[in-house]
Amino acid sequence: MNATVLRQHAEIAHAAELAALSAHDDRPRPPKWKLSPWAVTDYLLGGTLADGTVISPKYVGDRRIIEVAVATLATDRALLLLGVPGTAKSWVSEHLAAAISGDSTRLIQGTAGTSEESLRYNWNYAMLLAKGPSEEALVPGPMFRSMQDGRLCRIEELTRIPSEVQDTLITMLSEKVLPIPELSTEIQATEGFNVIATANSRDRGVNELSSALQRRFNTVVLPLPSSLEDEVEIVRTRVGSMSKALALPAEPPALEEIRRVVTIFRELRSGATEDGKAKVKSPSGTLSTAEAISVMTNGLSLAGHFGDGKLTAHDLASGMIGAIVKDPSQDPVVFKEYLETVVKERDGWKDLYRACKDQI
Amino acid sequence: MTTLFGIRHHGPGCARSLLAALEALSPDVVVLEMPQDAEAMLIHAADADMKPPVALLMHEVERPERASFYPFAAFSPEWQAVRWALAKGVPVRCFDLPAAHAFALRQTAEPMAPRPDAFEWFARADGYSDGERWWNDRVEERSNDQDFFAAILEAVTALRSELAEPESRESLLREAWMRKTLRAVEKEGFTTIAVVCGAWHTPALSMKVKSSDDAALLKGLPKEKVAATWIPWTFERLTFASGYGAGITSPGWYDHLWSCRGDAMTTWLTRAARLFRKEGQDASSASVIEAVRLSNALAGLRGRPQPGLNESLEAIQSVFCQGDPLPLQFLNSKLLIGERMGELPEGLPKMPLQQDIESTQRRLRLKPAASVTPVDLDLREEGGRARSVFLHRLTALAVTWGHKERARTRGTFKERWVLQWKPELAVSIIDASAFGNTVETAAARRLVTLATTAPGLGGITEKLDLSLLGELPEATAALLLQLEAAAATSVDLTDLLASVPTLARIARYGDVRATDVESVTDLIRAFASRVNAGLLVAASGIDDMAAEHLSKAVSDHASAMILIDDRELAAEFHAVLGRMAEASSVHPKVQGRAVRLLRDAGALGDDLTARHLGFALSPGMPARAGADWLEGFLQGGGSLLVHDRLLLGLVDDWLKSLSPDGFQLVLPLLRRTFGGFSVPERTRIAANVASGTQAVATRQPMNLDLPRALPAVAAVARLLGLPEPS
Repeated sequence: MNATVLRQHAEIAHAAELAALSAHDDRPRPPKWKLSPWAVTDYLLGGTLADGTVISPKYVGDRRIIEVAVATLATDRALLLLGVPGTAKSWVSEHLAAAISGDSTRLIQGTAGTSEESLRYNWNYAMLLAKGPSEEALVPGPMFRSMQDGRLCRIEELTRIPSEVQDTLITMLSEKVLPIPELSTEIQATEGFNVIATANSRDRGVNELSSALQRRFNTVVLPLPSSLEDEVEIVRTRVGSMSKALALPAEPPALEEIRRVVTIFRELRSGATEDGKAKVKSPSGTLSTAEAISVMTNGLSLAGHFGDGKLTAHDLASGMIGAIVKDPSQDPVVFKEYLETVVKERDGWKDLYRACKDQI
Repeated sequence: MTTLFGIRHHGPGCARSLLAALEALSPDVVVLEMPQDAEAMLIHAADADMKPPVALLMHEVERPERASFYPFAAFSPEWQAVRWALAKGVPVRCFDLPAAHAFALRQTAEPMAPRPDAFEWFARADGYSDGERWWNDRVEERSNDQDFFAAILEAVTALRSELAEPESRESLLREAWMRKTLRAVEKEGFTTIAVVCGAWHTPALSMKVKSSDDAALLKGLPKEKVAATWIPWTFERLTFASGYGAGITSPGWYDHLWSCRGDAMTTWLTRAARLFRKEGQDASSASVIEAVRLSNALAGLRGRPQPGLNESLEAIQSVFCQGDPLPLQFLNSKLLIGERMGELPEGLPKMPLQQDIESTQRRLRLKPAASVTPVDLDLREEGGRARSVFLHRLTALAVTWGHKERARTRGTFKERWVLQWKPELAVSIIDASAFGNTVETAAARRLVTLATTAPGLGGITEKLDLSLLGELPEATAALLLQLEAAAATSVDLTDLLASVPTLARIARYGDVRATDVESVTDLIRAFASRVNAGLLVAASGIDDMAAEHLSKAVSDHASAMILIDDRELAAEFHAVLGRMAEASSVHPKVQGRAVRLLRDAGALGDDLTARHLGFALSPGMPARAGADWLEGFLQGGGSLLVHDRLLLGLVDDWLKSLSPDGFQLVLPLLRRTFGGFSVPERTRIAANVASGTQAVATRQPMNLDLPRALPAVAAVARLLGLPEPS
């Protein structure tokens, strides 16, 4: 792969880890799996192998969540990852696919415009007109190919897909068959095929899964990070790896800076200060960990390109306001109130208070 | 030869392994970790009608509230050991420190700080989050039991020597007693001895200690007199959450593991699915299949031979609940804990009071259950009345099986009780048995005794009420005497006021055969004249809280006066009320109430009522006082204003006379008064105001068809027991 790629696929970025895990993995592997379920769990949660290879944690949180997810895929049941935006659903799904199939690129992005064709197959219309329906005229989609060669297929934002299109999945998931009525034939899924879907719990009720489809999935809810320490750790590792990838000229932010941003996000999200002493109004946005990460990288790039390379409160403030103020009528009031009642009073937060006050 | 079987008190895996081990060893005596003075009671465990969960209750004879429980479930290893031994005819010995000593020691001993579960250490070493989980995995849910107990002994020996934590004196004494008893059993000539005790104590038993050292330690222990009995127990009381020290998290799961030997997970998940369906959640058989598969896969992933409770719950959450943990709550009480309650066989030695309670429960068909059960009683029926009497008597005995709730319907012939039998009620029964051997005598004795030891008008009246509702005539008579004595010395008028309604009830509805109605009426007269004398002073210069209380008490008193129907007293009472209505020192709320009572009794004309109303609500009166007055006047609902157009007219006129500023001033206060009325009442008042408040001045003479009405009137008269109309 050449170096100009902005973001590497998980299986390439972590190729060394996957190879090391595979070399040490002596446990039984389900058919077509690159690693055993134990090794997949270790790959996601991190650890140290017998030879000293350090596996970086991809998911920080409850071990049981990842265990249920991996066990689900091992039983050939489809997996549905559910959570509010920014709880690492796509991230987990990508890494699961990379570790299990060695390929995270079989991806269908769900949108309101996703059609049945993108879930099944398409036609090369020139050939279709010239020769009529035939195997050559068939253009297989990601699902089609995954069924053929026994790999994982990912569906992002399943609940954005219109309900009538979603139900195409039922046959594929329960009978493991993709019928091609035009050729009166079908594709039967080979061993190793499975589906990981992600869905946003904020979208509940938009395109609710039909209960028939719901039944084909085991659902795993990815929660928001439970403790401040966990969340700071997530932001720190992600900002570190991203600033390396983006070649930002600024030095990585101090832990204290990350802690401040994460604290503000957590407090606004939960509606109470971390010490539980004061009530805080919540703005309309989700304020996920992913947004905290982007505030940090945004600040770093500001500091690197326009500042002296050191991250200051001013660099953070604009990104933070952008993340928090989503609704121009209400959110500024909420954030101002929070600034005046909470941020202003905190020791050593004066710079942040002034920076935000100037920009809002 | 002595073989040690270290167990945890409630664990199906332990119980199963223990049974297999006993079968293989076939000992000629089984020694149990139970107080030695409980030994005689264990024979009852052989009874097939004894259905666990049950508990052995040991209590001091003098102070039954000092008690210890030793609960057994079907899956408790001790229970299985006892049953095994009794079935095989093998003698059972108990070798723990006798409760007689333990109770006496406990009075002097310093309470020890609770120690963290020692098995946490094993859990940590083995990569588990907590000891409970570790024990579950490694011990309870394993399938082979080879060298099981040897391994436990070795592990706990290592743990105790490594930790070397100081043991409490009680613990040391107990272990010394165990060794001492064990030596005695060996001396008796038994050759194969099986010792079943908590895993923690096993190293202390295999340790070599000189018998003289133990004897020195155990010399001169204090002693108390102790009695033992069996009581039914519940699964809920076996949990940690109930505060039971050796508790477990999920008795329901353990019970399931014990009773379902084959494919435990499939039946477990099917039961969960059925419960979800009952709660209206989707849970198809296909989902059960998927949940079983997921839990198996999870167990495989975690390197466990079989899925356990955690795997099952995670599978349920993921498959049945779409990842949402909330619906798991449905399973909590019914599946995870279980609502089972134990049963005892007939003819077990019990205290007479307990027997009486049980036979009464059977006779009245009131079955004690661990769940919360509402019971509606119709007091017009024989059965309903008998049950009500029984429940009131139990309340008088402080056996709080149930509590009375306000009946939903109007009328006094219905009672609603909410019953829940709790095992600790057994202690209350033992406590109460000091007062007598039947529910009736004990309840009567207890009420009278309590009233003597804690005199005071309010308390006596309360007990009098219970004795009346519990149909305890002797107690009623005795309490009446005490009430009379107490009233003579009482200075608090509110107490006096509170006792009159109860007395009036006795006079009106009391059991005429046993209660001397004449003396009660005399008592009421004395009380009422005392009230009449002191009421004016009592209502003067009081704060809002006291006024609220007093106005209610005065209302109750007024209805009591109607009940006893004594013209002279009533006239006197009305005169006092009249003076209260005029006196400016009386709290306005009580004043308002007094005017209303007078009006309702017909002692105050409409014009005078209007004058009082106008006066109280006049601009010179502080707005606050005006609103208080109105609140007192309209207390108890707005139906008066709905039906009495004249009164509504008065309030309406006053409202109309208010200046805009004045109206604004009283609006919040009026809102408080009218806000207390029910919505239909308010709607109807508003409708009446809209349609005009002037009462129909003269009623049209009714044009009745008398011959046609006569049969109906006659029927009503018969129903009411009135003379036949002509």
